[in-house]
Amino acid sequence: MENRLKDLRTDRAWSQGELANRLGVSRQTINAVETDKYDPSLPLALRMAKLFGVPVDTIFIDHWMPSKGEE
Amino acid sequence: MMTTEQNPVGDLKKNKSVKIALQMIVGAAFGFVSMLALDHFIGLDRILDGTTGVTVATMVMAFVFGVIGLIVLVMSSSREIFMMNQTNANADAADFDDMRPLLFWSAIGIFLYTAILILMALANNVAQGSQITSFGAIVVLMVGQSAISWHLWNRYDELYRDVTKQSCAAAFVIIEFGFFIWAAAAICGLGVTFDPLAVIVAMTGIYWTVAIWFTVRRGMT
Repeated sequence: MENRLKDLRTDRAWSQGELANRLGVSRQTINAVETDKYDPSLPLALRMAKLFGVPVDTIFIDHWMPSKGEE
Repeated sequence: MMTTEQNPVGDLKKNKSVKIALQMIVGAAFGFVSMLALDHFIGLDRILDGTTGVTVATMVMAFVFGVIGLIVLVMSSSREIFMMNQTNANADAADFDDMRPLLFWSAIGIFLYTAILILMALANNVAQGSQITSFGAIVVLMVGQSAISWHLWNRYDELYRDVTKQSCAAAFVIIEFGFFIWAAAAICGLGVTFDPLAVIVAMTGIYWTVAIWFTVRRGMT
């Protein structure tokens, strides 16, 4: 899933390690999310949203749209 | 017009390729020298005399585990060596502090696997009394290995747990399919033997291959 984690992190001049410490995960996890190699769990995504003070869907971009029948 | 502008991404890829090529050359040289030393000091003929193919495969697997364990242990003991091995540009010295305990206990776990494989390979050829001792030692080592796996699991964050879960699931699917066919061929008398040692070697080989695959896919190199 596409995400803006790197932009949000660099806007605050945080290193991957610094963000990882704030979120209580490894730097590898932050790197894997930023490079679209790993989608974080819902609790971690919510923690990221709280930390950056933005809604989850500002960080993670999902292009899925419901079909007309499901609306 | 031709440009002389530098391409950092291209340079990074080139450096990575050179690093991988160097690692492969060093690995091949290490293997070659090890085999020469083994032949010179002990004699490969003596080692292989009377042993089956599956015993040799187990010993080779144990050797590979031993080398991997050694590499992981060396990485856990030196910040410089750890950083040399990092392919990620964002890696920093703090990574070493985070990774050190994981690497250390992983290395110990791998060494226990190495010892288990060696004992299993040799247990067939020892006297009756020693076989019971070997069995006891294997059980103790297995308990130790499981305790280390549990300890590591508790220290893992969600990415590491995800890789472990995916590796276990994928390895199970491959092992289930392959071993059912293998067992069926043995039961149906197709001239295939379902040797316990071969099962262990195949299972271990499949799990580690799958685990490395998922680790690399997550960019954890």
